[in-house]
Amino acid sequence: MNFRSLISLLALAAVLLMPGTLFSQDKKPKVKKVTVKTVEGLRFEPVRFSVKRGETLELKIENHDPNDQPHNFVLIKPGALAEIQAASMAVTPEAAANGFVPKSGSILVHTGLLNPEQKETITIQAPEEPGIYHYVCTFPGHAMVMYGALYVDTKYEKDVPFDPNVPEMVRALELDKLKALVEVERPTFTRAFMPEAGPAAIAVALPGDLNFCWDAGNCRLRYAWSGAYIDATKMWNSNGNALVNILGDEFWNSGGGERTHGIQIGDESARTVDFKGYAIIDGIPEFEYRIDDVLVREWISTGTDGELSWRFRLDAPGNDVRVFAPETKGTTISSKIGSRDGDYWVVPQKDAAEFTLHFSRK
Amino acid sequence: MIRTLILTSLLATSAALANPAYEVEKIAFEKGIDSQVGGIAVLTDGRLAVCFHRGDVRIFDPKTQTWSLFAKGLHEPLGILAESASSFVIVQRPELTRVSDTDGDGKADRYETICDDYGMSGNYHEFAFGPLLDPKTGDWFVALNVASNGAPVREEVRGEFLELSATHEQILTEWGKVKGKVGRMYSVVPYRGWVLKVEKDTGKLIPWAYGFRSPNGLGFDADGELFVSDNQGDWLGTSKLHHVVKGRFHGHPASLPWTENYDGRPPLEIPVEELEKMRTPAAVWFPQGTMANSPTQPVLIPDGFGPFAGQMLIGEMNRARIIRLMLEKVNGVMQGACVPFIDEGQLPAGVNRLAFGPDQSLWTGHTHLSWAGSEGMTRIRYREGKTFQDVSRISITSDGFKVAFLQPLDELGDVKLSRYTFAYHSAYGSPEMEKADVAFEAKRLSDREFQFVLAEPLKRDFLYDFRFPKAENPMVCYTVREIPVP
Repeated sequence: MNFRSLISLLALAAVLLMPGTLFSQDKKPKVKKVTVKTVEGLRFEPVRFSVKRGETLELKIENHDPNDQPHNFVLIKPGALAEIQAASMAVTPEAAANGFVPKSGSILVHTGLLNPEQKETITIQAPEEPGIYHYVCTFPGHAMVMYGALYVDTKYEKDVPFDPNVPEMVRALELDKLKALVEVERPTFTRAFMPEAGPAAIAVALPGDLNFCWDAGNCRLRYAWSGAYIDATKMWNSNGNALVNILGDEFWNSGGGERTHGIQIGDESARTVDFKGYAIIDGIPEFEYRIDDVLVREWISTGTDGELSWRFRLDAPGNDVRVFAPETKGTTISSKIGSRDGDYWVVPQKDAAEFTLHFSRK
Repeated sequence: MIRTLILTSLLATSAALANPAYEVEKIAFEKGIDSQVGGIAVLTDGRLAVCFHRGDVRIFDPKTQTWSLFAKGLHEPLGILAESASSFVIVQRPELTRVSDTDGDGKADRYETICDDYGMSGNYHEFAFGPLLDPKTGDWFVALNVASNGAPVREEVRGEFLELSATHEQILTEWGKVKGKVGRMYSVVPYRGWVLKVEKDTGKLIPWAYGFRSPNGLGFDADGELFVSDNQGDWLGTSKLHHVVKGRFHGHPASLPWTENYDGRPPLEIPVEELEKMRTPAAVWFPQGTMANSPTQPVLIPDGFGPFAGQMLIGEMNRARIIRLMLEKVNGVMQGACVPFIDEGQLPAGVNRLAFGPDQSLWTGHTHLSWAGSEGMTRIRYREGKTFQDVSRISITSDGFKVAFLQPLDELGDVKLSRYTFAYHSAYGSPEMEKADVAFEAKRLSDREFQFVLAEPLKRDFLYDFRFPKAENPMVCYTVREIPVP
């Protein structure tokens, strides 16, 4: 009888002798179920989790990587990360035949190689020794960045952004999330995929705490919010699919879905809108576009009253100018020049070379 | 299937060493900067303008090793050209943009839209590549990636929405049901899967060539011929380099509906035989797994960068590799060979962009965007006087290949030659098909040149995979489209 068997026997004896165990109605041992996903950017999600020593663990490993990457899940002994990372680099016929699981005494358990959208469930006993056990993807080229930490009867010392047992890339990503909650240096602007806008949207952070989304596809102001700017970390830490998150409180939204223009010159008939770019004035973009042959410049800044100030400059408008400016969420929009007509603010042709609309929050 | 492909391709991989004649130096970045490079422009004074994944443009001065922020807020810029030290033409997801400093404070204050007359569905895979300046006209070439069915489209899109395979509504609400019909990579807004020309003076978009999937690399050869790379996947058995001429179709059918007078068939319903007749096959195949998985930007090698001036280099994303191209025109058709140039060593993976400086050093920019790859930049310099052995030129003959080496060669060693081809089909990738070893007789032509006469007739649309044990980079793959007549 070897030492390990002896321990098992003693453990069994201990269980049998435990009061209540023999007569328990619940004969099924408790199973902890954990799903570990492999996700975009060569990451495990969760990047760490904890179990009790000896606990029965039903691990469901699911490959959700949208980038056509195969992955596996290899649980290894504490301190063996560097060894397994190095061993996984060997691309030999033997390694391939073994699903790229290196031959090593440090490996406790592993799945097969999972292709995108494949999953595998393995049931294991959590190790008896408390400690930090890494799980690694050993597909060649992945192990240096793709691992996680199984905490066995061990407390997390630090939050994920500062945990040395998770990959640096994941720490950076989590830290970015925190940083994103902190204000940016204002003013600034960011072209990104944004919610409730076309794909050619631009976010702008103004001095103070005002922010807005301007759509360069249909050349119009979409919505405005106060407080923190945007969280772009998901967009930046991925292939760019993610929308940015709006961090503050929306106080105005033009609505109007796919309407094709923000202002009309004269009648309501459809006009050609052509985005021309922007010049930076006091750090804030002044958007330029043509409506038919009329060049329009639109500069949205923080007014002296701390509210949004929406300035238009037009080269030779041949008619009255109608600005789509519905009053929503209790925010009013008006100007010294012109008058309101439903969702529009109308400026007579003679005054339309330059005018400013003022927002006023509830 | 994917699993099998990956296994087979990796098995053939062999570790290679960095080329001793080239010094690779990593460029330092300040902490906190996301150094995934989308584009590099070299200024005449040797400084660089580099655009990055997070939308910023920074100027690097190699003399002082310092970076300064020039512009910001761009949406995934993937290419930059310098018009002067204060004006740059940049391609980003939504448009081709001129970014300039007009008041001389070293910071951009104008972002002028040169052209945004193409569609955006909001799908993440709709990258925009380029710009490549046409020196003859001053116009720019750009290339548009198709969408991936890794995701649907957005509720709001820019440009006309094509509903041949599924309606916009179906894509938004029943994506799981219709994604198969739409295709693995799809083009539902204008000119996705196209190479386009943008007119210098008007910003007008001129559709140029189509049939691309992920054309992340445009470049001219020494004769001004346009080459564009494309990435293995659906309809691409392996990655390719295309010789692009106006009006050509290069094989991925998603782009077809944006041709003039299109008949309206969903692209996936067009028989392969019909597509096969229309398409221009690639000039170069890069065998998946062994040569490259994602080739990037081709650049012309100038004088002063070692022995290969006049040939082209091309980057590779998945491994730490730059590849060299040896092209030739046979019966009027461009074709040729690829061979690793620099492998591993100090070079990181994800070689996305390459640019030669005025001192003939090669700058590389690296990225991954959550695929395989890396980040940062390197500067590669030729170590004057360092010699190495490699194949310097390979050209096809009526019955085999003529191969020239850089240095005199006493013995060829145990040269291996195999040939295989790749399928043209809607499925993802292709195994190496009809693979067989090829016997040959090697005849010496000079102290460094050999004629390989094959024991079987050369086959068109096959790749001939040489392994020269005496070369620094043993693997040389020649794609045969045309065979010269004796």
